[in-house]
Amino acid sequence: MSTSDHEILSQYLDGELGASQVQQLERRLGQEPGLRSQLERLQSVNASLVSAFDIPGADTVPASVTRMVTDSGNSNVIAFPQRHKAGLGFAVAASLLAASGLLFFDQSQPGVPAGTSIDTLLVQELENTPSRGDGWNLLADGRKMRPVLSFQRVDNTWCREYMLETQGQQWHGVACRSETQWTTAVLSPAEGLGSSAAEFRPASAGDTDQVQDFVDSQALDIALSLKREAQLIKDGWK
Amino acid sequence: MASLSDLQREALLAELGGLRKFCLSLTGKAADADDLLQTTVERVLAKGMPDDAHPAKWAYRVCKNAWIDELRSRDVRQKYPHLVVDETEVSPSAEHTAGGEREIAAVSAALEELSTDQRLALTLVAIDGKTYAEAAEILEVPVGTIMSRIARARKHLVEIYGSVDKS
Repeated sequence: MSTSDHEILSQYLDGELGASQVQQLERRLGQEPGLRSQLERLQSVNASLVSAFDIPGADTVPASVTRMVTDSGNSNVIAFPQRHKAGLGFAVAASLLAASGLLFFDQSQPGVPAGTSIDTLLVQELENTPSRGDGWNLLADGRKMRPVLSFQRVDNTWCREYMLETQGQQWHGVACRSETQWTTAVLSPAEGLGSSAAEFRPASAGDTDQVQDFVDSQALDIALSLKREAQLIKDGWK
Repeated sequence: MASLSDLQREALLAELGGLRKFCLSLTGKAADADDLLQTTVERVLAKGMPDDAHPAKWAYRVCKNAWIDELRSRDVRQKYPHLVVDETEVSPSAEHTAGGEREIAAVSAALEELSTDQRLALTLVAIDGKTYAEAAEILEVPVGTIMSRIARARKHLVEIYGSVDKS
């Protein structure tokens, strides 16, 4: 077997031959058993190489490495913030999961905190306002809201983590967008809450980090860059 | 060279999975692959990349250089003793090793017999699916050199596998 033949067979395996060269080689393969056997040996070796590394987890990147990249930017790529679990003595006051198919929380539900449902003002903020690291956007009714970051959910819809301040109470939540609607997926009182929030305790209360758990389990990838987020805002989240 | 631009950083993030697999194919062990990937990312972030550089190819090039530095600084057989597989002696622990890990160890041992240049070229093309042109850019050699390195590497591997089969 000549060096040239080896190179041609190798290029054939890698799809690097032109159409006429492929035709010519395949004609030879039909006529030369030695060439054909060598190709089969090369194919076998190649298959071993590919299958050995084609395993689950081969391309799994450690979170610490991903964070190195995301944290290296100023603010152009927003890493999901590191959140510490609340202390043992911290009582979570509320954590709400929106009922499937509902756009808004039912304000008539006993104990649902006032001012936290996804109403028109919040929809406008979620739809149009870029994420920011600090500060607040003042809403027309006096509430304050801050989109924290945006991410793509595993079902390919878009979600936004946000902070909301209403009636002296801060809330931390995630809202996700369907074709036309924003729906609260998870909402819980921010740490350092006052006594009023402690009055509402849904079934899920007791889980100290619902928002973090939701993001961890539902985010398809890291948070969107500000540039990508701005484009989505411009395109109406399409 | 300044820090990475937004686009470069996003491109690097998008390429991390492929780089991790490349690292695994070079080191043959998950923990070492993670170390090599981290070294690569540290270097890219510390040194930046030219504005006109293709981020993915640049990152692979940095990874390749980091791997070569590693080979130069240590005897790979000391650092990666698992790559040296004695086919005639199967220890009880090896019998319990997951099939996938055994296969990687066996293939890595065969790849270890190749020259570094051949191994890098073959890994990029056969395992990571790069074209000859892409591999040539990453390794900074002409396409013809990639072609001949891969052909020689495959020929060598066929001989290695052939001798194992005979024994």
